[in-house]
Amino acid sequence: MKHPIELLFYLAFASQIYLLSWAIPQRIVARKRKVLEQYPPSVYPKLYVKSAAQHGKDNRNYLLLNRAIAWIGVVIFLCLIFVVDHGSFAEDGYVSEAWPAAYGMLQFVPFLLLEISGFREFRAMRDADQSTRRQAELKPRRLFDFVSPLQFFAAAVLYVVTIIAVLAVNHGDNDGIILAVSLTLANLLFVAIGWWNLRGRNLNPHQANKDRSHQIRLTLTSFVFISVVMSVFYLITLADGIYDLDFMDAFLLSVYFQVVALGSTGYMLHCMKLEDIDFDVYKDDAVAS
Amino acid sequence: MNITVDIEDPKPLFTQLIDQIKRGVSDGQLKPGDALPSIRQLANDLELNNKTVAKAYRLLERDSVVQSRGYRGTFIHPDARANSSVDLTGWVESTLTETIASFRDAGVTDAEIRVVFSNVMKDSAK
Repeated sequence: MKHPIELLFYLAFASQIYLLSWAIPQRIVARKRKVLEQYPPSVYPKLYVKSAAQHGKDNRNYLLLNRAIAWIGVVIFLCLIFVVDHGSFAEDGYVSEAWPAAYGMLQFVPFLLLEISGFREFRAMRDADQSTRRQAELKPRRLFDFVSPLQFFAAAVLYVVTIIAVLAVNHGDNDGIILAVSLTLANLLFVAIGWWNLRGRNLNPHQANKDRSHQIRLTLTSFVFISVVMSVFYLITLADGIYDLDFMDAFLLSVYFQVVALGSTGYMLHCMKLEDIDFDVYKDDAVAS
Repeated sequence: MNITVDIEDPKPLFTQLIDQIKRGVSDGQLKPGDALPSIRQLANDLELNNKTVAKAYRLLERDSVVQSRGYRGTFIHPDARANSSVDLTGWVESTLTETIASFRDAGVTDAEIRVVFSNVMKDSAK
């Protein structure tokens, strides 16, 4: 081990494996199973477009996929300690940040699949909805009703500062432009999804208005938080380059992935309590809202 | 306040919206100065065409139940409560009923009334 930071990296990487591919997926599946038990298809038919057996199978597959990725992580972890010649991956001989980066992207694949599957389920739910009555709240949804102006402007200012810093430090070369464009695209994605949440069509045709408002609040708060984290991460890595602290990059990237996962999925799981959700709208005789 | 539309109700969708907003004003659920959702938001939430909601808002603005403040949005009019009770459609219906009755009394046939009515509507739209 060349530097104590490597020990920190291994601790962070172990935590990354556990958190993203074991703990969070476990919580997601536990929550889905609890919904299935407490709000069964027989009483809440509008909540399900697939059979209970199919849901059980999907949950098992999701868990299996995550566990397989976790075991891949364990193998990478052991290889990084005992097998890999770090000098052949990074000039300074420290653990390359490419390891946590590539593995982190693999870990996010099941989350992406879950989002796509949720999107398809809502679409099927819409197709199955035969109700001729539609309900809406006669109240405008404005950005600052859901997220504090201070948080929003802090994220915006931080984004601008980061872009200026990235371009200045890299003297406007290709690396700087790529970093600036990637940060801008990520923020534009947040803006587009946020706008869709505020003004677009609700994917879930039955969701109660108060649940929708709560979900929008959590989503926008999470986006603002992740935007801030991204900007801070970019600034720290810039500082690493300036002060020759590049050996910290692998550790920082691993921590970054975990903060992003906790700030998005973890935050939603923690704040969107099942007890607070109005499940009555999924009963057979409920009016669509 | 929630608003509900039934797409199978024989009453036109824009009329359903107008009636409920006027009722909300009369009941005190909507107060002068309250903001209404944008046309796009309400149309998306109710899965209606933007033009349907725009038509409802336009007629409500004509009746001084709501007022548009440009990019800031649409708000309940300060005199909305008094204006919500004015039923222009009902007034047109009762006036036409009386007028048609007087034409019939004078011996004008229904076919003649229809042709003349249609011509007058066409001419006045030019």
